[in-house]
Amino acid sequence: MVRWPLALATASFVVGGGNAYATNTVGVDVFSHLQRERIARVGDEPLPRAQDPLVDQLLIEPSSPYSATRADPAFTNDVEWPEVLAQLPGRLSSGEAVAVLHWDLGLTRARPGQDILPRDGFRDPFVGASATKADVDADIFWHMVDLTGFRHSTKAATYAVAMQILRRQLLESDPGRQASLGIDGEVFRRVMKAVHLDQVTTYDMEYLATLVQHRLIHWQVGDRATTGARALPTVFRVARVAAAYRDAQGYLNGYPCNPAATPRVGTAGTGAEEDDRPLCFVAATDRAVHRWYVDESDRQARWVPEREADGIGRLAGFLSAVLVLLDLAPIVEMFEAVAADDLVTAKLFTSTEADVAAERADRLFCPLPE
Amino acid sequence: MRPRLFVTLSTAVVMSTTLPARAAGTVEFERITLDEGNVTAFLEATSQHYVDAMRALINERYRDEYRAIRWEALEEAMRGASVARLEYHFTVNGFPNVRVYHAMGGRSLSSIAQSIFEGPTRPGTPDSPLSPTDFDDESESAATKLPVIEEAAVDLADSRFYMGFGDVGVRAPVMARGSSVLDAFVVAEKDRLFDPEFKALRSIEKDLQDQVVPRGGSIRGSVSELVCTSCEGAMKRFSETYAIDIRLSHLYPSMRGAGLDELVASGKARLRGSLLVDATTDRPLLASDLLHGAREGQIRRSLSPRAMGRSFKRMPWSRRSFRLNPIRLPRLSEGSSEGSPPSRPRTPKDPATGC
Repeated sequence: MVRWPLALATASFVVGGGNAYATNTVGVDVFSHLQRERIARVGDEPLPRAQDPLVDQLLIEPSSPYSATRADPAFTNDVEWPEVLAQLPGRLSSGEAVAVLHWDLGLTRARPGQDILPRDGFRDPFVGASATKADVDADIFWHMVDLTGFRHSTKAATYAVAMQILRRQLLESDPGRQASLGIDGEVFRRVMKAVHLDQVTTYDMEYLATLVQHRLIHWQVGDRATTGARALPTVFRVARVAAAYRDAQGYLNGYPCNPAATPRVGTAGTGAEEDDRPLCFVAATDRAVHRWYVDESDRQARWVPEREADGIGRLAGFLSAVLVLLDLAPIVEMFEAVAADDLVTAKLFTSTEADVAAERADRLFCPLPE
Repeated sequence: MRPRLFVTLSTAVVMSTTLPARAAGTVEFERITLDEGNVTAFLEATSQHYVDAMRALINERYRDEYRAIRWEALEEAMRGASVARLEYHFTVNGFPNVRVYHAMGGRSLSSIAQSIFEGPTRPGTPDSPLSPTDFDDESESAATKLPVIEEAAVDLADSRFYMGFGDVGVRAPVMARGSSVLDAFVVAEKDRLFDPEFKALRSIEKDLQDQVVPRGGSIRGSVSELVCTSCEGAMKRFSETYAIDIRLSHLYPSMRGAGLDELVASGKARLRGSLLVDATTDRPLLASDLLHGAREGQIRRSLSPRAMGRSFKRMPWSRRSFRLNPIRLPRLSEGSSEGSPPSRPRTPKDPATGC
């Protein structure tokens, strides 16, 4: 088995500065602890109507895609909050725990120099900021969009994240055990060597799609990214890479951001239902970028030029499952259900409690066709 | 019966056997204890194929079946069946190729469902000393056992319930005994013909014999349970006959001894009940536990009464309105294929529901 002599790139993160930061706290899952506390407190009773949804408490302007975060949300005044903090490992302060929630629930932004210090190799600080937050290396970033073209950049984003996951596994595992652990360096080598999507085998596509899907359907937070910051949940990593591709593609109607990484009034999208304009992505929250991603991936999936039908067709076939999973706008409620399922595995929840979480999410989703 | 477990942390116990003379093949087994790499992810994906197929089968044949105890038996049967995922790597005209064989242990889905929904009600607990101690035995006794050749035919007919397999990822069905070096044998009253790894190997063998895939490749893969010691001999024969290297990972269901002590003493892990969990995150650490939990989640999401839209008295059940598992959508070829990209889709929504 080949061990790739590729060093993990390093980057610094700007920490602090009001509500804009990338948290470096790792190894703790505040959201699950909060969820357990809530279930223990209210059981299977619905949440009181007077209580704002979690996200609304964590954002200053919840309806805006560009909202800043709130450092002292209302729930930190609840009598239960100190108990939640006490149960967390590492003696986190209230502010640190809230910062972890901001990060894991997709409420932070990616303004270069303010939230994120972009890595080199992305040719543009705005592109670099989104890609750096997604923890995808520049060579993978550019290669995957070379294979798909910008017209299918949302799919390239998924594969870019998968390739980064695989690269990290290759770097951090014993080469002698990689075959036994299902870590296939040949997949990485073949994909990076391909010059056209048709040269990427069906097996390789399925392999990479499985790596991403597994991380989408399980709540695995708290790892450290190669940047040193807390790793972003996979669903937001994919969306951020797609946003970076969109910025790299350029805009016919003017760039949606001002140089100071603020949305350009009249050009930047507002995130409203009927507003098709692209967001100023670096100034938008991960959650808002994800909502854009869902629409954009759907739009891209509908278009297949005849000459590209083979490679792109196969690409879309394997990614369809991922896209459906991502097509979940009330993402916090979905996170609750995902985390609850994994808490059953950890024997910290009963299956009934997992169903309670699922039912809460059910109320926000449209019925699935059989 | 649980085997005695001797494992050290991150140090797999590798049993390697190099075969002599004309045997070019090597058979290696690696025991996986901690959740590392992608073994759990791949086995979970394999399991999902079978859960989805069982859901389709029940929707077609047992839609009006309400008895809760039968659903419990179904969940138990699906959760307890081991799964395997074997890859056959080979080269054609200098280009590497891979064919993936997925298998779930036991008889066909039709036979499993029939034994649960049409057989006698399974006994309650506690069991008497004379009661069967293993659900497989119990279900076997409840079901009308078909001869293997008939079981293979039923399994083949079940193919229509399986979605998501193709040219690269294929299902390994029950196969009748025939020209195979994988002698079917019975160990502890269990016919190993129905073990998932044997189903997968038998499918590979058939593809080799039918020249669907060329000889000279290698097999690597994983099994959700320990491969029985006596089964290793059959694999060695297979490896020898077809000159194929085999490397299998099998999940070891527990950790004991020095490895466990070292892990706990380091402060990285602790025992919580029967679970070995990360001392910081409380997340289970063993691959076997995580896979088991993931499969329970699949069953809960797709096969529980709630998931199947059943309604018990005062207990409303409805399926989740979102999916946490891969599903198959219409192929891209069913969409537009020419012209410029369509405008951003705006699906009409019901103002009342927002859907």
